[in-house]
Amino acid sequence: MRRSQRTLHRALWPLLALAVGLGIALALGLRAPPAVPQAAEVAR
Amino acid sequence: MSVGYRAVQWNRAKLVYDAILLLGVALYIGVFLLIAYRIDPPKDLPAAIDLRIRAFGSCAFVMLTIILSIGPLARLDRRFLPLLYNRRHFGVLTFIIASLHVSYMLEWYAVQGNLPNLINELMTWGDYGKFIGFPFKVLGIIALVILFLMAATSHDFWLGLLTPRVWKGLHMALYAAYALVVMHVALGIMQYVHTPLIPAMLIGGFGIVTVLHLVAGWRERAGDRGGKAADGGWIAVGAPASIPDKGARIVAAPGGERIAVFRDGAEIGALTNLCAHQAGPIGEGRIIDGCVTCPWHGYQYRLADGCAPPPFSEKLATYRVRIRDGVVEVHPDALQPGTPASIFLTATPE
Repeated sequence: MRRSQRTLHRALWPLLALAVGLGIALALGLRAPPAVPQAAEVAR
Repeated sequence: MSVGYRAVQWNRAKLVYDAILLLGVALYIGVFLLIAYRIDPPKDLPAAIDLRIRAFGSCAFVMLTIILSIGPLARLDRRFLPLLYNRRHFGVLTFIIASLHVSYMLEWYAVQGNLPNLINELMTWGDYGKFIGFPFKVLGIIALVILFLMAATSHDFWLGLLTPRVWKGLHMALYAAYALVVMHVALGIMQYVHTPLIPAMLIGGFGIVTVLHLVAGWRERAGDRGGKAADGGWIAVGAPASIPDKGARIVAAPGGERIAVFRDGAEIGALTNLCAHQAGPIGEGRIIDGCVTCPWHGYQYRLADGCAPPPFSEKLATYRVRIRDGVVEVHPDALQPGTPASIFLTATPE
């Protein structure tokens, strides 16, 4: 790679990684809890 | 390298590479479906198609993760260089696997007579303002379009037409495609299937790619610092013996572009570190059969003048070299590609 390509790569790559990492964390943190099985309702 | 046109220049290495690739993909999908059928056999046709969607989708994700890891791995350890040799076929196969994932998804809707639902899903504009609930399939579709563009322009015809600089820039869109695929999974299947395997695959794959790039980038930083220029701008490389025989030492010009200073016995010559093919790191290659050979795809150049041996026509920029007080020095001003500039030592260094 040319120096300009390396520089661009190094500038964009961490930003993209940070954005995607944040996206994964939010998607995990905000996802709905698993549905409670109906069997549990019956037992109660 | 090619004199006449051939659609794909098959050789034994490429055939072996592709055979291993196809075998790996078949093995992954076969094992995935076998385990899935054992654990929870599908009850109807849509459930069976759903398993295929997951098998091919996860396979494409793993393949993309490997493709993006090959570059930094090859820079960190030369033993990974063979993986880089035919990475284009790897990319094209990934596009095919991702296309099959999409085709099974369409089939899943079609067998239930629900294709209009897919259209509705993609055209519910209000959902585009949500994070959870975002139409995640759109992310996958955009990623597939990028993969298509890259697969379609992967041939050397497009490399020649677009020039290596533009072609390389275009193919960096793979990073965007990977980011879209990660979010396609995170906002899609990870939201309604609560197995820990999906976050593990996603975080593991993304983590590996990130760490490898950061480590490789950190190691490369030193190579970008411009060398100290002595009088007249000459850059000290080191004693002749410090340049490995049939190998190179790479120095950076004050502007930061890299110069590969090779030694072939008593002959010393300097070439640009950019291969004329795909701007591969020539200086990480070796001298094979009397020619400097790029480690990426085996393009060859004469050390004396940077020209590919006849009948090939590629040329590299060369640099003037000299010996001063027992130290090899290189001048950072590039000469016209193909200009003879190598020198001979009076004695071959030990």
